[in-house]
Amino acid sequence: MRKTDVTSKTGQPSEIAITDPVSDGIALKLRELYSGFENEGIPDTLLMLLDKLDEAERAYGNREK
Amino acid sequence: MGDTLDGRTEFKRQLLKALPSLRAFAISLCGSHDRADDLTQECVMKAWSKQETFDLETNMKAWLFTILRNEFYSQMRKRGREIQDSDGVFTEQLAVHPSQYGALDLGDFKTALDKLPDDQKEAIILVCASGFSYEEAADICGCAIGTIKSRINRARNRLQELLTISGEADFGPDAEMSAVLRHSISA
Repeated sequence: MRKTDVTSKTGQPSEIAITDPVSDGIALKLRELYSGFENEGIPDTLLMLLDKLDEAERAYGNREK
Repeated sequence: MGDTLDGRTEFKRQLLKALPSLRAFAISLCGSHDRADDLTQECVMKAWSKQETFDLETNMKAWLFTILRNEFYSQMRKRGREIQDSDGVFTEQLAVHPSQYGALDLGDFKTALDKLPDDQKEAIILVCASGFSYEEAADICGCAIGTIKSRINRARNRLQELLTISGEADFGPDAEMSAVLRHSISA
């Protein structure tokens, strides 16, 4: 439970592990790459899909009442 | 759980929160932004349709990753291996959006990552990038913890081979400083 250990010791949520193999150069590079993808933002198509699903469900719920 | 308005709102809130990481996992797994977005979309629709069975007290992120991962393999089985993206995809994307990916060696790293077998790739991404524990990754992949550890070790060895690095000193934040020092000594 790597992540839990780190969080409990520092009080800060962290993806950085104390031990290998999740804190060495390869892991850091992988996280750098992954963070880049995370920070790209969510495409509008995905957000619109969620809104449509939500709307459809609300409309269905209203019809049921 | 999604039988009340509050439940639905909370479900959507948690889903939105997990979405950036879920999409990053999809991109890392597929090697292609377009395909990853299709996969993420499929995952969201599946998750939405299953929300009645989801317990809000449990780990939404792990639940979503499991759905996406299963959908990825399902699509792979349907379409066959030929759909996997070529190594050139990231290079092409790098040329279009260089600012998104930072230094060039990140592109090299992505190219190497794409060459890993899928089971090794997902294991190293889940534990080393997505922030899951070994146990959580094992649950997501439906295998033993030891299998996850073994796959990560093999993934790391293969990445090191592909990146032709002899050790950590040649790879990472200290590499530039080492190069400067070597240059200073030889000058």
